[in-house]
Amino acid sequence: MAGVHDGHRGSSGGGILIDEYLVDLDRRLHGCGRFKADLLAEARDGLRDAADAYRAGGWSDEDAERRAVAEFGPAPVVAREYQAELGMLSGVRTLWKLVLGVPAMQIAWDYARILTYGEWTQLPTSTPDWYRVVAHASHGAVFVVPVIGLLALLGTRWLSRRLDAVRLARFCGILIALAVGINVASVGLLIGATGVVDVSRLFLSVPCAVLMVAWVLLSIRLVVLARRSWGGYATIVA
Amino acid sequence: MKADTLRGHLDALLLAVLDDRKLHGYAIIEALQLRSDGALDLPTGTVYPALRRLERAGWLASEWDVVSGRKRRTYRLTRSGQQALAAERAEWREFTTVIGGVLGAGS
Repeated sequence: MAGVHDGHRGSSGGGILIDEYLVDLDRRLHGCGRFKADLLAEARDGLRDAADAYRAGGWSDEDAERRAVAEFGPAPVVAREYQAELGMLSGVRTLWKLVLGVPAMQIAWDYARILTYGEWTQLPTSTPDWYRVVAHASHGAVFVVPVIGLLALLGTRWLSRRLDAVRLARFCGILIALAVGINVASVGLLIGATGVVDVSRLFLSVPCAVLMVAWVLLSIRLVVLARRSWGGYATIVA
Repeated sequence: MKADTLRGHLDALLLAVLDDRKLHGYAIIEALQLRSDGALDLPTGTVYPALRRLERAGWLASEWDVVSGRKRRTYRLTRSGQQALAAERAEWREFTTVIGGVLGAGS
């Protein structure tokens, strides 16, 4: 558990009561480990500073820590605020993956297809009209998803000045779910439709096949991150 | 003063404490308590996430610094934060003038 047990004890150190409190807080938080460790490190510093101030005022080590923990607030109350913040930090990271990752995969696949296979006119099988509609919709989604992501990033910054952390986390979670949902639907639809028309089109060349697998894995990863983001929000409002 | 009363003004209070100086989390809490003569009754643990939110809003910037021999995350106002603080102060002056005028009239 990074950020909780790496302190020394005594003056300026986290004692047992502070450590226990941080373990409790850590247990209640769900999200990216790096962000969580950073938030908990700052919480530990604040608790140590408070305990030091009480020690300097003549309190015993135990009483100083007890007062520091008490004024920090009940763990369920504090965890709610921390979870909202943790959810936002993770959400922003997911949004950047959507904004950069989704179009990057599309562009990489298109270039790989042009360089390693060539024009679509070389295809040995005919392309039905309905498939063209699906392909256009899927390509459109590749641009819609990052636009939603960018709007969410801008909205998150603007709303951070106007909404409390919980409502902000809900806003972010909804937009991530929307963007990830559109991405998964478009990738699934395109792969499914291609499989129906001519499955060999999924494997035009080795680089194209590798990039297709990477695209699917990225989409699955985004679903996991979106679920985690929404799960964090659900924890706050539960 | 109760936490619920404070919550609506917490952002402005945090910005005001950081006006023209750089402080770490606990120093910000101490400054809040000092300026309010200890009247601010707020779980201090809620201040740290609020600082992060203000940073995401672009009003604060933070970095890990060594303060008194220990590594701490310190915060300072950005230009945008200074503008927000000025706006909050103007709004507060207007609010107190209007409300004070009405409430004071009965005495």
